[in-house]
Amino acid sequence: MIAIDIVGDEDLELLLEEVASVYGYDFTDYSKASIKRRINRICLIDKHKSFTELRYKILNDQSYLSRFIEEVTVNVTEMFRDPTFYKTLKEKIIPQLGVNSFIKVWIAGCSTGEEVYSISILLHEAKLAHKAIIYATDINPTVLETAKKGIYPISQMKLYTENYQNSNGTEDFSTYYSANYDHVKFKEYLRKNVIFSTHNLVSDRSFNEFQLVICRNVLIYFDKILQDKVFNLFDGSLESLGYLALGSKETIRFSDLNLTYKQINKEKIWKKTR
Amino acid sequence: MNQKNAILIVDDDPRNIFALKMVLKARGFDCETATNFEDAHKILISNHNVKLVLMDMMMPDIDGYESISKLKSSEEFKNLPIIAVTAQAMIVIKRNV
Repeated sequence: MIAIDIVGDEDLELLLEEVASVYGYDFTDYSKASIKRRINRICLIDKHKSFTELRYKILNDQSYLSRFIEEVTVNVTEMFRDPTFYKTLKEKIIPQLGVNSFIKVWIAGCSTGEEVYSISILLHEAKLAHKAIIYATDINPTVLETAKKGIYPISQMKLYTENYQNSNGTEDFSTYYSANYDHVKFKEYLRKNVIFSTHNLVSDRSFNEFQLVICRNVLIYFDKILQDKVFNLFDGSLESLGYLALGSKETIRFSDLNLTYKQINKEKIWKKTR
Repeated sequence: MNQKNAILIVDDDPRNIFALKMVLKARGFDCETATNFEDAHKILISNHNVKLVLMDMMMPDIDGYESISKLKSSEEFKNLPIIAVTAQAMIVIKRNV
């Protein structure tokens, strides 16, 4: 298959402007290269022969819009991804959260929920889950449905178990789920203190104050202007001395937050110092 | 840290939550919010700082009437003060509360 760009740079600008004005989903500040790659992928998969055809479908068929959003917003995640990150959370951050009488964690861009269950497991192991609430949000309602169910392919469990053990997890990982044919379902108590809800990082406001905000591998798809906007949203959503956790390729170093946040353990975790 | 008493606002309309929260926060109250009974219940179970609930009456699925009776019939929350919030001010409706 030859990779042909069905959608060019000018087409892209036009389409994103229209999607923003008609539907209120603003992707205009997303990184152009990655969004263009994804839109061209949609054209290939859904067999749109031209940009006009894709554009007509998106602007006239509301149900196709959700398919478009699903494809454009990236949904790749793992449980205990980057084990050293989870090790630091487990050993340095979670015990600190324990001093609060009520713990609030926001997982922004939670996708299909693998990270949510990982954090819930850490809180349970630290015996803090009874006084904690995890707010798990994503722009995409379809992935939230998967997250709420907590059902994942059994083929992933080998990797997740290894990740868990490498993050210094000491329990038998298989006690957290029950297996059924080719899938596993994570135990009910792990989502008992999770509130799943849609939230758009680009257009929605802060909705609470948290002691820990986790947003991993979402900002890499945003350009600088949008990243700064989201950093301000996170800053406004963190209590003083709260923690902000980002993905392995993301940093606050080039934003205003750099002045008031202190990095923990060389991991992508920062503490708000005021 | 964070030992202050809090108020839980339950309302399916985020605009109402926003308005109530602004007023209460300006008066120094800590606020938690939920848009349905299920989420409100999760918050009440984990956050023992909540000492008062402001409950919207008209909500889809489980409405305020049902939410209040559920809470009042549970051992854990039967003594928790709940204030009904509604724009319906007719006498017939008042009797239902």
